[in-house]
Amino acid sequence: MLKLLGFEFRRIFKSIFFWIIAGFSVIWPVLTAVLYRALITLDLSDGIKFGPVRLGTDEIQYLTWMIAVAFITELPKFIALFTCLHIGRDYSDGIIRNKIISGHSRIAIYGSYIVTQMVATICLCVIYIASALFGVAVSGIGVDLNGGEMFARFATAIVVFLVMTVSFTVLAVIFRRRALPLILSILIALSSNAVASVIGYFNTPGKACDGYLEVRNENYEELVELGYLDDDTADELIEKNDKDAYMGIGWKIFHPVYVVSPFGFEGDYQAGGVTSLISNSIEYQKELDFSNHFITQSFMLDDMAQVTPQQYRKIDSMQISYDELNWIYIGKSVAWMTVIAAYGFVVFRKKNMF
Amino acid sequence: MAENTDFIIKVNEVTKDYGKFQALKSMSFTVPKGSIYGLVGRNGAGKTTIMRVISGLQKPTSGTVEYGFDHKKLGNVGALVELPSIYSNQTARENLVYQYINLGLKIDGSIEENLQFVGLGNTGSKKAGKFSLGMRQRLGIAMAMSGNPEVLILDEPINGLDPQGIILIRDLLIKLNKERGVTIIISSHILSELSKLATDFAFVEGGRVVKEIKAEALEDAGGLVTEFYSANPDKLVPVLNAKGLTATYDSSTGVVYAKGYFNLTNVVLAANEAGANIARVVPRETDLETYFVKLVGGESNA
Repeated sequence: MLKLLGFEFRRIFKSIFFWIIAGFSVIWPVLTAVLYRALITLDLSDGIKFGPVRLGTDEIQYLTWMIAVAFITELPKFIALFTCLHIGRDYSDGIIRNKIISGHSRIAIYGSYIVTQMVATICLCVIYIASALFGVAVSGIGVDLNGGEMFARFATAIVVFLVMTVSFTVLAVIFRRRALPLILSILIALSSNAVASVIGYFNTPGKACDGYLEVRNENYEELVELGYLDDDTADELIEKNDKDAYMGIGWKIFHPVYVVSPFGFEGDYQAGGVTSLISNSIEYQKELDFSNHFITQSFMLDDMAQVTPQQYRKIDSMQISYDELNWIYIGKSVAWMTVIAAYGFVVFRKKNMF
Repeated sequence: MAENTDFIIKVNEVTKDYGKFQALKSMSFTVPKGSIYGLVGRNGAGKTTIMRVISGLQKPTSGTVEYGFDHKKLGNVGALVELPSIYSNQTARENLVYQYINLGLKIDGSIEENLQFVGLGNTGSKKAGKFSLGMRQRLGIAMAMSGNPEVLILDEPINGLDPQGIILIRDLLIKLNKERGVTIIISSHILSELSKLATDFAFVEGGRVVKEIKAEALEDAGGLVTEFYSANPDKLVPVLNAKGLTATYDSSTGVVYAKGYFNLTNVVLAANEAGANIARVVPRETDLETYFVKLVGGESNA
């Protein structure tokens, strides 16, 4: 296995394409940071001018996170291409056959591909994050890593990303021809953002909704007591804006997918940042708060109960700490990687080599 | 794992199915240590399939392959099945470096020695993708022999080569067998070439080995058969037999067939003395191809 790892690492680090992606990972986040800075300081009141950067802690933190974690949306297409071309060449040039003939076991060959592709992905992600942090620092936006806590989130993001890398590797290994895994991997890479957006939208726990409705109903009772609403209208509103109205059929379908898959990562961590920005409260810096969903839904449903941020905070299931969330995503991602890799090996183990 | 045996590979009743198609049907044969073992057969007879099975690329549906050496030790089996396994975007040397890493060998001067051995010592920075077919085959052989293998499995190594390329590969294989003691299992369509190389043959037909034979035995079985056309066959046959030949008269064709090698002048003089005239002499050498056709019937399509 070590010999094969040496073999694969040599190939990867001698690959021009790998260094092109590494170059992109250096340049793109810096460019993004510079463009963000230009956008937020653009002053068109008297021609085109750029003013000084005036950002609060939450905004700096949010931008630091958003620009650095963008590797999860920017790199998959490149990793998909790289993995499929890299392993595909081993098929087309007969190198996998050569490794088997040489006496390497199939599990060692398979394992070496998985490990080296994962390490290559980690390297590229780390380069991207480092460049992003450099970019936000030199562009004037500033760096705020939430006291170092953000590094744990970055690590979680990398683990989530590795699910895709393992999927690309498995596709490249189980299909002998290069075109099919390439097309499938690119499709996965390109659709992953859309899928993550859809799945991430349905992240709200059912319990949080129950808690919200309880508080909301109490608010209605108070409104009735204060004479702002009559009983019938309140009952009508409570009946109309029930759990189904807040969660809907989409939630029933996609929430289970969210629970078992790592797809909701972007939605969750972005929602956390947005809540933090909206509330401008330091309380949200270490946790994801699902109240954002209820705030927007309340406007759409014409729910007049006006639940306050303080009331949201009293609902336990409405928040989850990033520490806990990180472990949940790491756990889910490792489980998925294991399942996908195991499936790939079952296919590869019995594959006839021509 | 059997070691210290007189065979390098023993194939026992190996069957290989691809769906409903049975490529190998209880195939059995034994490859002696130090031999150059030629597999002869038509297209689709099962030569490539059994080579894939022996080299571990495919698992047999049933049956076993015994190895007379530690076949799990890295580099102990070298193979060139159909196409050489080389990175087309790398140089010959870099390909060998990868193979050395693959086998856990120390990267040293032996890489250059191996390249010299196969006649690719002067390819420099030329990428393998730009090599001629013969050069690619030789690089493939250099890769396959990097770990000093006990056995080299070569499927059609001279296919598509020009005459000079064929001679180079033939000389290389003989050198490997003689100088390094590598057992070689080889298949080729070019039976005349195979007959110049192999010390043992297995004739494959319909997924089975129909005959295993040593090269010397093949010569004995075939050899030279000469047709004598004579007006006095009854007088000629004893003369030929007296000269050590095995002569028979076929009355249906009117030809005397004599098996064996002889001095023509001596035979003509003796026949003259015995009163038998010889009108025409047609020598027919039974080569590998003729033997194959006789064995499996029909046209040769090995």
